[in-house]
Amino acid sequence: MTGDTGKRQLPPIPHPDHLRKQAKARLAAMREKMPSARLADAQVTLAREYGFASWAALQAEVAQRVQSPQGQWRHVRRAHLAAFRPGWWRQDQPTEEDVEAVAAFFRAAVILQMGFVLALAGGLALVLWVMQLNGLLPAMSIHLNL
Amino acid sequence: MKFLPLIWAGLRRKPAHPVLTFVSMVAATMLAGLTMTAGRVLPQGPGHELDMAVTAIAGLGFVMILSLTANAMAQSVRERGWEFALLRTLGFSSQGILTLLLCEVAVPCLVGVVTGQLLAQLFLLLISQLLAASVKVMLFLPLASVGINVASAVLVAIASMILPAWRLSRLNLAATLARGRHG
Repeated sequence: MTGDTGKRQLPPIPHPDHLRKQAKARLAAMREKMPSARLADAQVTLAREYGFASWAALQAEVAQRVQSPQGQWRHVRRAHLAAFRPGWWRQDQPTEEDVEAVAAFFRAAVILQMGFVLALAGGLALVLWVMQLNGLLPAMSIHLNL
Repeated sequence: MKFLPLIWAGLRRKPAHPVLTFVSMVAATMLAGLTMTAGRVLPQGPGHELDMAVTAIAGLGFVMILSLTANAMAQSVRERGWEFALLRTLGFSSQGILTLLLCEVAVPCLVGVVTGQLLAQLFLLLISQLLAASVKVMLFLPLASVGINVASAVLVAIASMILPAWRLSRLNLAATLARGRHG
């Protein structure tokens, strides 16, 4: 099963907690009709609605989507103002997901900045080279005065 | 001196934070150096438009590193509340912990400034070699520019400490310790 044949469609980047909450809600609904229903029954029913053979297969697909570049990007996009989110100072300990999101943002920031500096240096070198080829560069001395 | 092992432990505890601060500082210093070089080399119009653009870009770099470093420090304090509560319980004063945090952010800032300046000089040296005899680069490091760079590093470190300092002043020791290391 691939998830395409189910009655419901998974969002592009599903949240594992959201699915777990859905399973618990489904269990509550099932227990009203059948008091002996277990969480595993609710999970299998939900997984089949999404077109998966089992709850484990659904979770594996969710984990794969979260680890995909799109999933990582969503992480980064959510994290960039993590420290300035309303009420962040009231939480004494951030959730594990928050810590991971911040780490993903830091990694992205380091890579982007290094790329930016390399592009700037390369661009300046290219401009100077083209200017020299066209005889536009006068003889000069540069005092590096940062 | 008694802070040195603690500073080292703090830097190693969350390496992503000092690495981000270091890279931001290198990027900003190189940005300032390279745009100023471009400002001198590229032909200027009648006014000083290019000078203004160079100053604006350097200012943009400063704001960029400040926001990133402030975010990193705020996250650091948020994630390490338990450690700071423990230090307070062991007898460290709030000022002592703030000094510790300030050093933790100032070290990568200062190392970043020096590295950025060296990299910018190296780049110009390479350019002057590649462009044969037309551009001569003189390795010239006026005291004023070193002073400005060091001052900007210290300013970034202090400014990025405002939010964490406020956060630390409101730390509930008993509640934080009771929650344990991992919440």
